[in-house]
Parts: sequence; structure tokens; C-alpha cells
Amino acid sequence: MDQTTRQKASRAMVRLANGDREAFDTVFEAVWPVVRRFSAQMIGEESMAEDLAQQTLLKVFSRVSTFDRDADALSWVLGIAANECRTHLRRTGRKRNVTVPLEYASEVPSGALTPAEEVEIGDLRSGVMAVLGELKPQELETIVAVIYESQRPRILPATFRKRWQRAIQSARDVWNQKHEHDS
Amino acid sequence: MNMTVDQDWLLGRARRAYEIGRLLHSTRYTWVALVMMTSSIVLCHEPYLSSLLGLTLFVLATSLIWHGGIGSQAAVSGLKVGFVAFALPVLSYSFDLYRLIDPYLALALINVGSGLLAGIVLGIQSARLESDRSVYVLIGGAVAVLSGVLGCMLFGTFGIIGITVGMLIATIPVIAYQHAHMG
Repeated sequence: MDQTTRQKASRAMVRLANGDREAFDTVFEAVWPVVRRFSAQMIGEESMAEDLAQQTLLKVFSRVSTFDRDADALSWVLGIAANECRTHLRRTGRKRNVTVPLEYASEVPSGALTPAEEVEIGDLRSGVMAVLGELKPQELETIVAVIYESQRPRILPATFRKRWQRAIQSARDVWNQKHEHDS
Repeated sequence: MNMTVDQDWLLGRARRAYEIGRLLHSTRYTWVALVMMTSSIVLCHEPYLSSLLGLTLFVLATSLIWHGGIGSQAAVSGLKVGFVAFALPVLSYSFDLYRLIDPYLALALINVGSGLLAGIVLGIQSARLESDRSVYVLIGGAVAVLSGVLGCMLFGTFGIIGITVGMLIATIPVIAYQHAHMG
């Protein structure tokens, strides 16, 4: 999703949050494919991912009224989606068997890497996604906002920096916790 | 789950989730109307009138916030300033403050003052809006008067008339000015 589309989705989300029902279809069309892809790539198992995507979609729409008007809609939606996926993975006892939402990560051109490097990067991405899945929604939103250079919440830069530091620290802690037996 | 999700079916469910979410969201603001109603029933010894006014306020404010738009903003502001207009007479009655000066003057000050204060705050808030200022003041004023009346009933008919007069004194010039200048 490019920057213009993201901004358009955020504007439609704000309108919907303010009770403008005419923005409903625009938000639905912007959110549903993203939620569907995200769940599919994070869960892997197709039918379960579809169920989770629908569950996430309903949660997003039931919470639209609480959407922070200054926030980026996609980051907010992905925060909810990640939370749903994380809850599902916890419930089913699957912790590290997650794949990467490639849609949201920078791609390496095919053929540029050796098979060994591809496997290594794949493992690394899986690890990163497992860590992201463990973070709180606000931490995830902060990381998403920084990585994808999306619109940041309207808070003081110092506050955002602190939030970013806390999110990164939490990610480090989760990573260390997950990999302490590996080392 | 059928993998080719019926988009219309999902859209319908999302719409329902949105409306239910908005309704629940609106009660996050309007529960205070029920608190005011209960206090009024206990303090004012007019259970039927208190219940009627309190329920009317609850239903009106919930509907307005659920519907969204300018009515929602006005209802939220009306409830906030209305709560102050409710608390002022209740506190002055509870602590016998109205006996400190001439009782009639005190009653006029408390009841008319509550209405005036609420109306002035709404008028100032409406100045920040780009459009629909009169609608904002009218709806906010109605919600604030209903809230305030629940407290002013302690002083009988005089209290009810007092707060209504105070609100009219504060808001009519604002509405007339905006009507004359904005068309």
C-alpha cells in the first residue's frame, strides 16, 4: 500500500470514527485485503487465517470509534491483527512456527542470494515476526510507524522517542527470551 | 469455513459490528446520565420526574453520540458542562451554601448561574467549529439543561426555571450572532 493510499485510508477511518457511514465502504476496501494477507502470512494455515482475518475485521470495525484521529490507520489495524494472531498462536501453543508478512517487509530481489542465505534470511524474518507477535499493540504500532515511515501519532518527538526505545527494548527482551536456549 | 468469503455477508457483519461498537462507545459517555438520575431520585424526592428526565437524557445523549457528527460532539460537551451544572446546585444544597446570603438571591445565583456557565462554555467551544455552530449550541444546550435540571430540581420549580433561563440568556445571543453572520 503506497503512502497516498495509506493517507486516504486514514482519512476515511477518521470520518468513520466520527460517524460518517459513507466512509464505510472505503475503509472496508482498504482494510480487508491488508488484514487478510497479514493473517494468512502470519498464521500460514489458510482456513484458520481466514477465520482470524474476519475476527480481526469485526474487531476493527467495532473499535473504530476509539481510533486515535492523529494515528495512521494501517498501523492501528495491523496492531489489532497482530494481537489477534498472537492470541491465537498462544492458544494453540504455536510460538515460533510463523511465517513472514512479506508484504510489509522490504524485499530482496530474487536470485540475489544463495540458497543458504535465503534460508538464513527466512529464519531471521520468522524470528523477527515471532518477536513482533509478542509485543503490545502500541509497541507494534510504534515499530511499524518507524520502519514504514508512516504517519506518527501527534505526540511530542521526545515522547515518541521514548516509546520507540521502550518498544525496541521489549523486542530485545522477547528475542533474548526466545533464543536464550539457542546460544 | 468457505475460503471464498461472501463479501456482502462480511460487509453486513462488519456494519453490524460497527453500529454495536458505536452504541457501546456512546454509553462510555452517557453512563453519567444514569448516575445523575439516581442521585436526583435520592436527593430530590421526585422519583417519577427524575426518572423521566434522566432516562430522556440517557436515550437522547446515547442516540446522538451513536449517530455521530456534530450532534455527537455537542452531546459529549453538553454532558460535561451539564454535569457541572448538575453538581453546583447539589453541592450548594448539600453544604447549605445557599443559606450564606439572601436565600432568593442565592437560589437565583446558583440555578441561573449554572445555566449561564454551561451556556457560555458551549458558546466558547462552538467558536472553534468551522460550521454548524448553532446546531452545536442548541443540542449541547438541550443536553446540558436536562443534566442540570436533575440537580436544580432540589430547589423545585424555581430551580428548573432558573437553569433554563440561564442557558437561554447565554445561548440565544450566540445563536443569533452566528445566524446573522453565517446565514
